[in-house]
Amino acid sequence: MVNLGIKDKFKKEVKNLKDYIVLVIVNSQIYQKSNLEILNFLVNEQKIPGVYVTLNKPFEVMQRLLKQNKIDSRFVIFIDCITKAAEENKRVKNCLYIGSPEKLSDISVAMDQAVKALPTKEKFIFFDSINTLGVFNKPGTVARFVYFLASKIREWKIKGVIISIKKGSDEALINELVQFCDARIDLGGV
Amino acid sequence: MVSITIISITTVIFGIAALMLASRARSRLSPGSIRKYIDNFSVCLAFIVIFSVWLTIRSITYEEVSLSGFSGYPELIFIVFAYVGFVIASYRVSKISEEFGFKDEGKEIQKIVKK
Repeated sequence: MVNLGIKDKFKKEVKNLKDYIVLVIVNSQIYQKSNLEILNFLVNEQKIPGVYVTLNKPFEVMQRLLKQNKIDSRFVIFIDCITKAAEENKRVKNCLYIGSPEKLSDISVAMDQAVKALPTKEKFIFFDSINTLGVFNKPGTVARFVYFLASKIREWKIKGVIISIKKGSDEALINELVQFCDARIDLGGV
Repeated sequence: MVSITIISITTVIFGIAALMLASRARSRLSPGSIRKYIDNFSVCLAFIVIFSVWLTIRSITYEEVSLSGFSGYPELIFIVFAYVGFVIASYRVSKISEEFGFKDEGKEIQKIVKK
């Protein structure tokens, strides 16, 4: 039952929107599947290049998952905030390792540069996930960052997908974020 | 001489204002490359401010500028350190551009999109 919904639900919410910010609140059990299905829709179906900010899974794991699910990873620039690199900000093809979710200034600059480097008119940013920011940063700092992220997505005129994992998510933060979003999609019921 | 003193004092005030602005900017940033760059830049600025303070004191006390005496050396040292700091700050900027520059990836994506 869960399987049929994810991509269709997302499609339905965004079909009339050109540029959007969508908050996807997802059950931890289908978290990975949801991310991949949304990515599949954006990259494979819509052929839109984008930036994937990962705070949960290392770049290597993400690449493997994309390959397994036949999602074209050449369309995506990764900003890996979770892998601890030996150098300060290690750089490989298609990925910048920030090293820590605490480095919000570096994440902001990296997102800005990556989005602006994309040559197409249509592009997306995928932020996975807002919960991890809360683990490493103070609630006030996270709220400010979320506001910054939302305003930047509007300024860049791109599609923004922000993932929040349902279990343990900060309701106050979610309510704050919903104000800036065009749609809120709840995936998974628990 | 009075006009030189006024110019020197104004320079010092501008320098201190610049340092304060840099410090405020630093306090708003989380740890990382950009904050480190501001640290480097502030050190350079601090040496230049110290250099200006030194010159101001000398212009107020009517101390002669001479490389043969002790009084000439500190300002040279301050300015040399400031330039060394600028070299380090420029190196850091080049590292930041290597880390945060995604132009090549953008070109690759453009090629794929055009196919």
